[in-house]
Amino acid sequence: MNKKLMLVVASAILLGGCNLSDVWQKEAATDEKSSEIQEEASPSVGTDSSIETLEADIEGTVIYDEDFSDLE
Amino acid sequence: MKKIVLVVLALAVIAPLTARAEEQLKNRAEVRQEIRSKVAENHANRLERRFKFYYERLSKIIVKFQARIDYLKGKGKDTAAVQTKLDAAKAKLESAKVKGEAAVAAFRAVEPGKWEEQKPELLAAKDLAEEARGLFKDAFKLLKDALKELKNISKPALPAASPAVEED
Repeated sequence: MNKKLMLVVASAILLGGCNLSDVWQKEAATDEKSSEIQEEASPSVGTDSSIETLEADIEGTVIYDEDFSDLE
Repeated sequence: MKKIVLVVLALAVIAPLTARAEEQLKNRAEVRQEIRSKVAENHANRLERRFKFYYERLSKIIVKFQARIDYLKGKGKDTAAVQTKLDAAKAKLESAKVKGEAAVAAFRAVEPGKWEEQKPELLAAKDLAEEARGLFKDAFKLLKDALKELKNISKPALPAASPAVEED
């Protein structure tokens, strides 16, 4: 029993648990990418200055919410 | 005797492992600090891109809007009210741009260091960013108000009432 326990403890120390730093760095990269996708989703503003086009340009404009939860 | 030897052997094995575990923990803390120091940089990059996107988009719309106003003015329409609203939207957009640049600069100015020391600067930069976003929203709202006014003055004038036809 003691031998088994010692083996488990030694394995735990050797293996050292999972490494979260890669996960955090991937999350940061994903956030930036999804932010770019949001902006690219807005229809582009053309050159036509008719009222209907102006209305479509304005309706197609979104001011996005910003996530600052990682600062808390 | 055997037990003593066993304990000594176990200690000889575990001690370096413990030291390694401590080193791993220290490395992880350093990596965590490095990630936290990138938080400010990530916000700065994202906000710079976002605010530039808003400014360019709303500026293009304003240029087209002005062209429409100039066209209607040439047709004899009274464009004073809509021009006032568009000018207000332009001014608000410029304020938003300046505030946005200040917010981005504030995030970039955060020195990488201990999280507790960085936090007040980060929160101050966040406040600036939220103010900038609010100004962009205000500019957008003013543009929508100007559009309502533009639609009003663009409506064709109703024909004058014709005299009643007398029936024999």
